[in-house]
Amino acid sequence: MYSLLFHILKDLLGVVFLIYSFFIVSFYLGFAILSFFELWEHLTKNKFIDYRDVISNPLAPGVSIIAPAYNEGKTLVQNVKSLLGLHYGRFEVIIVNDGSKDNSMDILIREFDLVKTNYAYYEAIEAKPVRGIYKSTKSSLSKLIVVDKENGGKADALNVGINVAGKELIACIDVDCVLSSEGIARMVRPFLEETNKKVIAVGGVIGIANNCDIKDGTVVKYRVPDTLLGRFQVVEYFRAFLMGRMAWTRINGLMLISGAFGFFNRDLVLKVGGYYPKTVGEDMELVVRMRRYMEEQNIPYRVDFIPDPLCWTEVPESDQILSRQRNRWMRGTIETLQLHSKMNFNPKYGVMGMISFPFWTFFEKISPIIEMSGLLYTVALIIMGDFSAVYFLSLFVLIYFFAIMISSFSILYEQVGFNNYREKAELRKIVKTVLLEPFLVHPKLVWWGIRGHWDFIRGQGGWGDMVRAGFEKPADKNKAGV
Amino acid sequence: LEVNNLSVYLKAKNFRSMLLLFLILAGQTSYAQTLIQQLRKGCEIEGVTFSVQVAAWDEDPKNISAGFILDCDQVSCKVLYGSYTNYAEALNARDSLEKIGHKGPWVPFFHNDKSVSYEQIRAMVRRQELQVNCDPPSLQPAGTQEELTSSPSLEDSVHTAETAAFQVDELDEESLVVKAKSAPFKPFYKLKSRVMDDLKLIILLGILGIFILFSLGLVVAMIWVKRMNKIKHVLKEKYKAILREPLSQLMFDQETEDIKAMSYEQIADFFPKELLSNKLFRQIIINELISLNKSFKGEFKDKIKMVYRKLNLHTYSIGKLKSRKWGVVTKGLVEINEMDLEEAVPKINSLSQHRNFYIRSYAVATLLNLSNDKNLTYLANQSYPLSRWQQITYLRIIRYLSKKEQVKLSYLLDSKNVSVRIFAIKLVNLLGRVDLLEKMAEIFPAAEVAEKKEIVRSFAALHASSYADVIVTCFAENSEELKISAAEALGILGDKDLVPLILKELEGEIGFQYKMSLMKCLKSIDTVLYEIWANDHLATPYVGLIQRHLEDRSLVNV
Repeated sequence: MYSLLFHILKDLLGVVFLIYSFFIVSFYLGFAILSFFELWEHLTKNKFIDYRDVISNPLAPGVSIIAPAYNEGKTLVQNVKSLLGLHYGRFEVIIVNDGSKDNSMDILIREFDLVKTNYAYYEAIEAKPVRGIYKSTKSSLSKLIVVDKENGGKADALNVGINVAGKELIACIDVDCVLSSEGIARMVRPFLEETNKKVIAVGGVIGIANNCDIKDGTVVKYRVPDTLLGRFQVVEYFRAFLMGRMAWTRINGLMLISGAFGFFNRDLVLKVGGYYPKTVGEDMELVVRMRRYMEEQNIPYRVDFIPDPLCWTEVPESDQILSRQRNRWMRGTIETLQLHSKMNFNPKYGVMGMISFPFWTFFEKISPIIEMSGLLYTVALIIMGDFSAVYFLSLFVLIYFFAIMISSFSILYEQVGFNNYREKAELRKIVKTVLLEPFLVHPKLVWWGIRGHWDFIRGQGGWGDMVRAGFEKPADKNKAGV
Repeated sequence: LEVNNLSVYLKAKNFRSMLLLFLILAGQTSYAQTLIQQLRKGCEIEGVTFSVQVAAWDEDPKNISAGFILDCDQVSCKVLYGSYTNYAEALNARDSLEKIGHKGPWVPFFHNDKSVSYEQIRAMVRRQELQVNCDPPSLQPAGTQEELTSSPSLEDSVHTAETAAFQVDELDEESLVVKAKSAPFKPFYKLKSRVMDDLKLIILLGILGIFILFSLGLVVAMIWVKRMNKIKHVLKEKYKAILREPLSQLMFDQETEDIKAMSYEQIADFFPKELLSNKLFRQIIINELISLNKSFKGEFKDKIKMVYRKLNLHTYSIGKLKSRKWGVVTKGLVEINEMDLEEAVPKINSLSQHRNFYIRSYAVATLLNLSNDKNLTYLANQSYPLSRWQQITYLRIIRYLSKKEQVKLSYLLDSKNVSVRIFAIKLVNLLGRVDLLEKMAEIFPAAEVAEKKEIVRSFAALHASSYADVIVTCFAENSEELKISAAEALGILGDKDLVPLILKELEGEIGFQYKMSLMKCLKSIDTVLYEIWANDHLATPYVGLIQRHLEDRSLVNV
């Protein structure tokens, strides 16, 4: 026999779960609609914009590409060459060696004929000491600057790069990313187009390069990865980039630009003090801080997003590495949301304060906890005998099909907009992944999210190691008969 | 009580108020439980009796099992079981009835045989109209266990469950379980009735159905889009392949005069006639011709434009301007611009101030290209701010125009639109228009900081050393960015008379970037003086650092 209080608690929890589910379903349906309009508008623009105009135009803005590198010796030279080969007139490449323990620096000095310079390094943003700034003796490599510094983490390395950067815009990328040769020209467009608002940052889509053929800095043949985790991330990236971020862009509520590929206004980054090195979610934190600054200064602004496939990276395909990544993402989200909690439900911060921030708080940060609580609640109902199998099954099937629907939306957008996975077999694999994901992958993500919360509470952190296989050359792939 | 509070709770707007409400509920619940708990412990209230209600009907049911009482009033008939002065016993009877299959039996309160609510009883107790007796004499309830056990068999009870008249052989729990186990299983609820009687479930299943249909629809759409994309892609490639030969024949085998003399039919003969009315094929021809136009020069361009007109493709391009879709209008403008369709100029005029950025941008670009207006009035009269993207596009066109004839940038410099003026200053620099230096010097004092910055850069780029006195006025401005531009410009112009002024600036408390610009400027004007100054000021912040940087040959362009 339960007390009345217990009954109320049980019913209250039921209502809370119901309201929570209602809002999450509404948000995702909203995302699907908003992203459709945004993507449609973007594709329409792409039909008549000629990006060749901007590549060599003297009025185009200068771009400093900043790529921090830590123990990337295996692939560094290939990646730097790829960056130097980008089609754009006014750019420089700043490689920041973040105290690598391998021979990255020796390789760079040898391969690019680097010499240590007397560069007047001014620490506009505080960072770990710089050991030396190198330039190549070859005039053909005049765009390259290599900074050797003491290890301080990705954010610290990026801050050093920002201090060194001499161009109007900075592009913060992961050094192992493959950038499309047209990448810069396309990413600078929003900075140049806007007249009524200041564009403070532009994010780009990160494509998954595992199992793809790459030639001259562009993926020439798309294949989905071989593993379920890899395939799941293809679908997840579609959802995140083509749906989520496009929808946020539509209402100017984008709070996250991936650290692997983001363009920023350098002056503003300097004004807000650069990346915050004490968080593992430095990419999100910077965007939130920039937006907060603009809102507090009452300056009209925009954070934009380009959905074209311009940047590719290798994603982890093992449970161990992916769990570390998701754990880190969760900790980064919690840290950022706590640092700027003042903005939550604060109308002073506009769309971000009233929509984006609460969304991240309730549906990104605590969703693993809510999901786990829901599971425990269901078990409790079974034990109490209050469990309704009919309702449970109906809701379960409903949520399952809803998940499929949302994933299908994003795949559909990819098909309509870019159609990169051209083979029927590839699409079949993606659809199969969508059907299996809720059972085989999602529970893991929930668990890793909870572990992220737990590690955050315990104050445990760090980045963990990302083991990269390196991109295979098309020839190698063909030999392997894949 | 709970229902009312829950509805208020549902209206609560945030978590904090929900929490507060929950605490209030908890408090109210504990208060409300005081009397109930007393009754559960065996306390009795004089004049108050309890029964167990198993069903209620609008009409008088005919078959009521033995042991059950029918209590009818004007509204309904209630099926009751027993009458108890002790609440705990009534609860026991209720639980027993529930175990044998009755759905939701509950205990109603009676005062002097009149049905009353618990709240009414509680209110009467509060008003001391009723006394709670917690030491009652052991009273025998009117409906006893014997009566209950004398009811009909369990199986019969189950079968007649819906008439709410249940009967059992015994109340003993263990015997009931044994009997229940021996009875063949027959579900009390059928799924159909369970679903159809539950509105919430119907709504849920409805939403589920929509989601399933939508999901399946999307999967089908995905496959369909994939198929359509593939078909379209194959068709495009096929059409491009078809076009290759006729276009190369027209471009390379035919003379310009020959094409000029050809009729539509003669040109159409080069192409598959059945495809010329195909919309996609037509668009592919347009795209191919535009692409060729961008790649070729001179006579070939003329041929392309002639073919375009002869095939009446220009009517499709001009027709696009009427579209309601901004993307189509802009595409039309691009085609008109590329194919020099001058007859479209009057229609484009109205689009140059369109609120859509893309239509406006391409309309102005097209007008610049086709209108033969060397005064660039379309640009000068722009009321919307000019984006840098537009400037990039217009620069290409104006450069092209200025090769043929000098364009009148002075109108742009006089524009009311500041972004147009800034663009004009950039054009002076990029087109090398030294004739406009004086004009820029005139507007300089009243110009905005962004304009001044561009003017200073233009003076430097055009080596206008006679305007150094204009540039030095920037040192009096508040903008450090402008001061840096001025220092850089003076470094290029190299006017030795300005050295004292630069040294004076260097003596002030200035930022790193500005100091570096001034030192660089000083070095390029007077190297000897620079070295003396730098060596004398090595103790000053950044001087040594900047000095080493400026002396490093590998950093000349950094």
